[in-house]
Amino acid sequence: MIHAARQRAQLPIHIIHTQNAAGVACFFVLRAGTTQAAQLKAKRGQAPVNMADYGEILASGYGTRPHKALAEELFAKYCVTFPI
Amino acid sequence: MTNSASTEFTIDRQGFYPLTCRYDRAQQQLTVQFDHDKLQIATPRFRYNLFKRLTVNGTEGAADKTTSTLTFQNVSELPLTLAIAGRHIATLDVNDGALGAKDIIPLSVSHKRIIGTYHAATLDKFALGQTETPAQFARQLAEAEGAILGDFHTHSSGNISAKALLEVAIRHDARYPLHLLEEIGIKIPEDRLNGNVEKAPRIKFPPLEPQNLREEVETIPLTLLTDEERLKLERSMAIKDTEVQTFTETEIPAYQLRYPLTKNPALLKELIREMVRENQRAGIQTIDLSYVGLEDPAIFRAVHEVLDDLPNHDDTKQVRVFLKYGIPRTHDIKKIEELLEKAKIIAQSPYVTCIDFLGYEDNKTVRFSRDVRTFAAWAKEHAPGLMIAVHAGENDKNRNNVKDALALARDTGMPVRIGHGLYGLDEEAIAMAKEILAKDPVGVVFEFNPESNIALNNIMDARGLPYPALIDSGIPFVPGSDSFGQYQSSKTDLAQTFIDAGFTSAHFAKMKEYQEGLTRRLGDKYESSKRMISNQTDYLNRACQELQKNSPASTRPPLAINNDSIRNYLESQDVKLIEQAINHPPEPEAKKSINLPPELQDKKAITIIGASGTNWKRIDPGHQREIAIACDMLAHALDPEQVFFAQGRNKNFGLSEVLNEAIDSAKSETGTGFNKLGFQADIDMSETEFPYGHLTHMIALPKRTAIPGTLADFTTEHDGIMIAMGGAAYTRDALLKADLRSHEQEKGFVYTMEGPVGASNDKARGMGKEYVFTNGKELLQQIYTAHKDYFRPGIDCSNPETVEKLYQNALDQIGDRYGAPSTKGQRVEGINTPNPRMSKVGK
Repeated sequence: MIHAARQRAQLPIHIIHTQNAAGVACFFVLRAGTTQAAQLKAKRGQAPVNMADYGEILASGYGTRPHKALAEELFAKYCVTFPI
Repeated sequence: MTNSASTEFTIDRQGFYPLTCRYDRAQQQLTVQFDHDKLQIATPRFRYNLFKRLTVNGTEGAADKTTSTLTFQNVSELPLTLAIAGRHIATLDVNDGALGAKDIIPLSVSHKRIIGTYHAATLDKFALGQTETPAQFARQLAEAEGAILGDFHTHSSGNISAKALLEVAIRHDARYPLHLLEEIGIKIPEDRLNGNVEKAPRIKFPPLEPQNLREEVETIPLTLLTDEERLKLERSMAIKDTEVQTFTETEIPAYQLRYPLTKNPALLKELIREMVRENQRAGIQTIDLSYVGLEDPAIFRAVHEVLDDLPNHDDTKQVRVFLKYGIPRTHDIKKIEELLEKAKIIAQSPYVTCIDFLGYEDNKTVRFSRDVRTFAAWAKEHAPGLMIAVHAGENDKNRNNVKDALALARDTGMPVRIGHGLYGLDEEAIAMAKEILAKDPVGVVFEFNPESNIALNNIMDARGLPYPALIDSGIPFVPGSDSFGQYQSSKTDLAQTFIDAGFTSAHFAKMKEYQEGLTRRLGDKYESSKRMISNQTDYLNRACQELQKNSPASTRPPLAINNDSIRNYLESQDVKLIEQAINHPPEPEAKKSINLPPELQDKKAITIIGASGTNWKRIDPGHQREIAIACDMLAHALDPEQVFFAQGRNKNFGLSEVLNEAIDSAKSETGTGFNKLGFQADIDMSETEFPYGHLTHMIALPKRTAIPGTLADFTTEHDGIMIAMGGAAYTRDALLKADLRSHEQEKGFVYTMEGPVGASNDKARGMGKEYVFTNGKELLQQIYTAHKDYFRPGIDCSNPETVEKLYQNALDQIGDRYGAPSTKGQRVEGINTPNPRMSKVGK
């Protein structure tokens, strides 16, 4: 689902693939600076994090990719396409 | 050593399965030959897994099942290590020129059950008594055995071994109901029956025996049985040693077979004596014996007389026996109230230390909480030191049962014993226990019965037992066999299971300390009651008189439903009732073949079981979504002309709702709908809204406990498949029974979802990997591999694109129904920055 954009900073958008505490695959579409993105990258395979601490969450969902309506919306708003 | 030598030993502690190892040095060949006839008594999967996983120095042998022999070639050097699934059994070596077996670590009865139940390839994952070295194991076992001082959770009809039970009965010329012998397949020929049949009052088995049984039954003397028949009866009076079974399938029938002897007043004294002898020989010092039926004055008197006499005999005087007055928790409330009134007489006995709510935990503890609180108020004044015991958390059907039992202790101040406590031990429960223990150090005691928990399918192996949380919290616990005889277990086996559960020296020291504390408390109650009654003979006479006059005949509630009323009710809403026995004896489970109507004939059953109701809520929304996707993919891929869906009890939300939505969605898209068959007990015709509208057909069952077995039988009989997603006790049982009914030992027809918390995730550990799935894509591919004919024309699930299309369709259908994941607790797996320089918003 799309989250309200609170900031309109000109920062890159990242797709983060995660696993929640129950082991379910999740994805987050995150607007974050390169420093924050690097910090997140460093957390790969490490202790769980709060994604909200690393940037603005534009969208998120369970699984590895969004459903059709959300995918279309993400593309329309942010030119983001998910790798299949 | 000569060129050829042999040695014999048994692989199991019970000594049921002997084998002979022959080593031929010239041929460099070792043969391991089991006693073929004795091995036939083991279950098929046990035999299969034994042949498949028995190795010598890590190498597999060639099996000849017709002679139960394994042959190992190129065995050039001794010593040799025999192992099953990597678990050491024995070392073969030459000693004084002869081949011998040393360092033997036999299988415990729990190990045998695990080996005989789960798939061969998965056995390495189970606790089977693996050890660093045999010497270390021997030390551990001695320590563990020394830490078991008593049996604090055991039952009067189950503690004695079946062999001793029959020996005592035969010595006393006891008679036995003919119909029970016939139920286990013992058919006595007419010529042997002639002149030997007598009618006798039926010894009842409330509340679980079938209804409408006659008051009098035909009996024969047990001496009439041949050795073979006697052995069959003996084995039927205990839970199988090589298979995990369900409560309704085994425990109830085994008790039902024991009751005519254990509740026979003429045998009772000698049976208790023999039971105590067995325990004394095993080194058990205290037995806290649950006793159902103490309200019968004859039994009450006989039990007291024999307990008074035990200290007078060398072979019984080292064991102290206390009694828990057993009240089946499945009784209706009126009956519980009636028995609690009698408990006021019974609890004054010095021997009686507990009122024990026992039996199949198919209902909520709160159901009888109010009555227990009323009783507790009486007990505080008239039976100081008395405890309440509740069988709670034995299965995961009602997860609040432990907390509800703890609430009784907290609110009444009466000490509570929790029998089992496997499920529902969350932080709140532990906090409640600690609060009670702050006021009374024996205010809560957990009774651990690991072997019965494994045997009755409540936990897969000892490693899964939730003991560490309790032990680390300082909550007292004591060991229990749940009936050594019934489970074919022993003190050594019980000790082994605690080792398998990960007990350390510190844990065993604690267990010893808690047993000593509890035994002191039981002794205090004994002394205090003794002082209160002053004269035991007077008390016994008075108590028996009061029990005699206070015996209103218990009446069963009238049957409110019958086939016709159910049929009319269902058919008024276009649901067809498939003929099935309702409320008719004698089968506790509907075992008869079910005749299907034409529209279901020649179609295969896709039986879906799993999480509904409160168990659905426990599942992570992400897993709920995966389940919904899997259901949607199934409904779109399977062919309504080839299959129909079968499901268990309907609940307002959870798997049944998700499945029905998927089926409706597929129907609206394809134009063809599936037949949907429901298995239902306790059919509620009082609902204002028709609750079975999602079904096209229904099979009505006599009781809820029949559902798991019937689902498994039905699916097998109709060449279908079973798919499990989440779930609790019923799902666990249905999975077990369906998997064991697989026609070929390694080829199941049960597909089990790994991931969602609950039964399917637990059971996935013991299934072959080709039957375990984590999402809809894997499920469809697995089913397609074995059952292409189930699928709609044009659906080829060996083609990844087809599966992907079905997945995407399901994804789009489900959309955001399960919300967004929490931002917290996310483990980063990967980062992708698709357009690092481009961000449309803000440009």
